[in-house]
Amino acid sequence: MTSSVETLAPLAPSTELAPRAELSGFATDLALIGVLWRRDMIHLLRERSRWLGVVVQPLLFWGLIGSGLAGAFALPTAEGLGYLEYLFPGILAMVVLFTAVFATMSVIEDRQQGFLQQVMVGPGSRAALVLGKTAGVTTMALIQAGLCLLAAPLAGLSLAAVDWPSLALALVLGCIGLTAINFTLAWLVDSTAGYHGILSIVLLPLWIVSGAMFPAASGLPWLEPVMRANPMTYLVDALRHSLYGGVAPVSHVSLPVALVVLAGCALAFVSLAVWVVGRRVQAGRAA
Amino acid sequence: MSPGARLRVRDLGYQFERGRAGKPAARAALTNFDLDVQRGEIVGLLGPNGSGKSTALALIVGLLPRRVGSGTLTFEGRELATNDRAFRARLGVVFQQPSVDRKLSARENLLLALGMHGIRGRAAAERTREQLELAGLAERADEPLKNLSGGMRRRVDLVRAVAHGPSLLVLDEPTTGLDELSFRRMWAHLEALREQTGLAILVATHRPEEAARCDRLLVLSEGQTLANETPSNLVARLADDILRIRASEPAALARELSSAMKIDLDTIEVVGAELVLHHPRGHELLVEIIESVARGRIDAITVQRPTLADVFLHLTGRSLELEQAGEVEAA
Repeated sequence: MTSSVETLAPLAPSTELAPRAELSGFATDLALIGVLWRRDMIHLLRERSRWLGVVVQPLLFWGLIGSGLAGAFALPTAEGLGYLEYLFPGILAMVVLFTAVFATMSVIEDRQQGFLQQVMVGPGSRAALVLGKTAGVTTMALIQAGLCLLAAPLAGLSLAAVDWPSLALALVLGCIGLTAINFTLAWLVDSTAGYHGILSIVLLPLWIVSGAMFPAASGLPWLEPVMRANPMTYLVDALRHSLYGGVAPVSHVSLPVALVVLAGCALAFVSLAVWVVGRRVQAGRAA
Repeated sequence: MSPGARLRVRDLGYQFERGRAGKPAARAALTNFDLDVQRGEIVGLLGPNGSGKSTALALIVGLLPRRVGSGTLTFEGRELATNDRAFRARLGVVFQQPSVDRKLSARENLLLALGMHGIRGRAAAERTREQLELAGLAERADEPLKNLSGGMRRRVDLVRAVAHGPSLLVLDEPTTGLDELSFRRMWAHLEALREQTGLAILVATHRPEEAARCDRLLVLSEGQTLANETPSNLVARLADDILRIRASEPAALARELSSAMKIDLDTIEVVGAELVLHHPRGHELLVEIIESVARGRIDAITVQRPTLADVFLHLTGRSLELEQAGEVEAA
């Protein structure tokens, strides 16, 4: 601490701080979305541990599980499809899921005693708050999924065959939906421990029964309807189709259907998040 | 009550909804709350935890929803709707916990805060530079806030809240946990802002030294406003001197004094390890007490003029010092 920092020098501002001319609601919302996006980008660049958790962990998981189960995996409908190759689209979905989970976890403390407090009393709307956070997390997920894609050739997938626009669309829609639903959960729980609990008993099982690890045709009668009802199934299917140029050797629904469902889920989950944020502005506050 | 108040609150009320299992049902957190804050005025809300001061602030800044018929807010002559965005553009808020990003620098925090108000580019950079200089943080503007002291982070939070040029600043116990120097700096900054920019300031506190710096004080207890006066008028309500007697067994000593000196036991307050007595001629009573009590029964005895802490105790029956200690412990 320098002496100049701790002196009691006069602190009068030299000029009156005139407020900026009033912005329209739309311009204010765009400004807030930009601020939240910029903040997430700064965090992404600074926090190296985040890359380990979001990119390295799924790839490690892919390498270990994929290699370990390679000998036991065989699909009669897709002969010659190895398990590392089968698992890869699910790993991309896991990157999106982990990005959304880790990036929205901070919302819990942030709104009680952090940056989001000032957002809540700022001029931006609740919808802009949700969209700004979603924009930041989606950008992160795209960058991190892009890095993971570099490992696709190791799974036997050709990058030349990839339907890139569909893949980007699937990643964006999947990330918007997952970010919005995780944002909602983070807004509703009052502790990080509670959020971890939801991740363990809801989100990870949803990923497992999304067709990421095994297809519906596994002989279990309850599995097919569960997979059909699971939004993450459509993300995995859309990614799988895109990686094969539009038609994957194994899937539950076609690429257009998967994209339409993802778009519907993204819209529904963003609407839910905006509604929840508007209704439950303040949590656990004492009088 | 001036008709030209910058912020006017009338008949504001709030009732917490039914609690979770095992908790009490709906209870009133605030009732019939009236308030005026003029341009350049500092108004304080003084009250213990649970008195309703944070609820009042949360209702004013829009963090709690105002229900139909639960009061009106008027800002610069215009009645505010719930969730009024134009009002929020003219508002600055400092929360109990700094609402800054500790992983970012002071400069980055200010630029983001200004960005929310549509202030970008060169204008934002210039305003950020000026604010950081005013806060004495120019030399450490680019360090992550987690490396700065709590007092410095508080200063960043204050300049963050006023950088966009609000006309109303709301502070919720802004100096809790700060040392004396940081406290004085914070108030020097607030007073300078009020003087030079006409900023209207509303501050919730339970620190008597903070309350004493306000132009006007509302004393709250259990959601009710017990007083709305200047600090000097509040202190003047208590004409008597105050004797504080510290003892290892205060309750026993109170009974002894009551018996030996024919003082009504009900007029002796026991606050922690202290007895508190009000008397028009405190120094005379002091001598009598020392003469009538056995040696060693009293650890210390002082006579003083009433302070805001005494006014608070008189009005609410609760000790500000104990409230404050409890909060620090809880934190």
